[in-house]
Amino acid sequence: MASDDIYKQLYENVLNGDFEQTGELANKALENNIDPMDAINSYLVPAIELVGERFGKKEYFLPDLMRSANAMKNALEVFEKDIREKGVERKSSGKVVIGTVKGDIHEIGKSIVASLLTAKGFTVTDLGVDVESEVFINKIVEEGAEILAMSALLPITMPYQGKVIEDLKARGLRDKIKIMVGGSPVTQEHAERIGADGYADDAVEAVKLAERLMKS
Amino acid sequence: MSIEKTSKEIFSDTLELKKTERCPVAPHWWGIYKYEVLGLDYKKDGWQDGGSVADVYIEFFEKFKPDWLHLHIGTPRYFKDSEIVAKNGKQYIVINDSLRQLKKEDKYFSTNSSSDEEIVDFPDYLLGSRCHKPNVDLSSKIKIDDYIKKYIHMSAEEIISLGYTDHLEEISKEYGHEVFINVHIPSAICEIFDPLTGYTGFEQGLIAFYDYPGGMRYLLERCYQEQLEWAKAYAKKGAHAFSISEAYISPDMANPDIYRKFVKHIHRSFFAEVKQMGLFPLCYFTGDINPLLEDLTEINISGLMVEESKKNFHLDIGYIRKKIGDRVCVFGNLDSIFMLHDAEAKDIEKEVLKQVQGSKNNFIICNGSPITPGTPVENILTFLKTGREYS
Repeated sequence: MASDDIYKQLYENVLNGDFEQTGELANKALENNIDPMDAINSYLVPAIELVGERFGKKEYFLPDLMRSANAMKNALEVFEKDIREKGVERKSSGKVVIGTVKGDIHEIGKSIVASLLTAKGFTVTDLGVDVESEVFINKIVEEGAEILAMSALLPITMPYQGKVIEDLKARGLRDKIKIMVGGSPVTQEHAERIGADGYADDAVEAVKLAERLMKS
Repeated sequence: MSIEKTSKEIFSDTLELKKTERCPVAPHWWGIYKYEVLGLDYKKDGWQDGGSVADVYIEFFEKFKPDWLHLHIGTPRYFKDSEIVAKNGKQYIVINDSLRQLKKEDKYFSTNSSSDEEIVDFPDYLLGSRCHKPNVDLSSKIKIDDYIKKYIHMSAEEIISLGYTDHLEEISKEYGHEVFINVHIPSAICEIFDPLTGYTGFEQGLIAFYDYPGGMRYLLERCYQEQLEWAKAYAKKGAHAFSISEAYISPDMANPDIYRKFVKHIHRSFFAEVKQMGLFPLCYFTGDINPLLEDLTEINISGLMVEESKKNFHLDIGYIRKKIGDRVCVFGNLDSIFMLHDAEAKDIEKEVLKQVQGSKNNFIICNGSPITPGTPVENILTFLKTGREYS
């Protein structure tokens, strides 16, 4: 398979969500001496961005989004391993700690955001669901995280997002981290009320928000 | 002199699309709220057996007098007299030897038939989630059949003997002749896709529509078939309606064609069978159902319950009624957070009247999603009063 065909196939796999073959294809790319950074930046990232656009236009749905994110992840795993082994460091888009807050066991939205962030080059630590403030804060410190992303699907657990922010303030850490919140009942007003730095309507918007927060 | 109809009669007439003197008022998903309103601690009271569950429902019903009793799946009998212990900041139910034998037979709550666990995470039980089941292998029908036999199948008789219908039986004896009684369970898709306890989990489930379409179709057919046993059990013990909540498959998540290809035909036969049991089949279809409205008139349901609008979709109850209200009775979708929880009485009145639209027929006044803890009692009373007086 020629290099051009491999590039094209990687792009198509992410776009079409053909995740099962993508890891193998990435290995083939390396065998053909394809530059993994070039493959990521010129083919994988544009493909996942187009997936996001199509999702926004309701041309793609959640299963499509998840399959594409999986395809992207499978290729990234192979490429990033190679990059590390060569002693080169691929610049992370940012370090994110993510989780659904205490009292809330809903994980779908949070997991999709985590997948898409990973696919866009963020280093993501997913703490899962029902996460206590202390656990968020300890992980932020441990990882040197730049963004905290908190999800809440229940109106009764939304205030806990505010509690985590208050606890960060009490520990003198608030100014060191950007905070984004989301979840079905969460709104921009709620985000402002609790002092978060940003709010996103859906997973695709959440990635854009994370990119903006990293630049701000 | 005409005799005033009971709420059960009004409810039944409405679901049959007959002319009625008023709309039934039917708040649904009382959940933890019913404990809060009654001053009970849901971690301690009213869950151990059907009798104590029934007591909570009855007390809540007597406080508000809605037109229906909206019951959950029920509780198994083996927790009665069980001990609760605290461990690592959580509460656990201790399953002793005598309970263990009973629990083994319960595939709804138990992980498997040879479980040797001695304690069960208590809040998880109350939240309706259960122990993990292993993931189902969708590669062959035989494997799916084996999975269902091992982890899911319970006959109506077994469901009854485990105690899952005890709450209904008690409530039905006291109220069944005049109040409409519905029992609600999560749909098969919810059971399959639940991110924590589902047979595939959410992500794998959705992806399986693409990668294992045959296996997924067969799993769905079999799981809905299994749910008919629950309907049978509730029908035997006096329910008037049987509802399922259909999540994870709405067009805001999955392409509407997935519903049409994989689920619609199953829904059609499933609800037809529920109807044959003498129950009104109801479907609480969450998410954006706008693209599926016509489809939902073809699946043999008597009533369609919908969510309130969310930030990524709009569900105009007037539009939905206009579009399908002549074929399916539509439930209202009063916003449980921004109306019932947050708004003032005058706003609730206004919204109820807006949803009724001056037409008493084919419509049931209802909230869109679970009543949130902290909702002022006065707001629920305003909701009920407005519905009764002005509809």
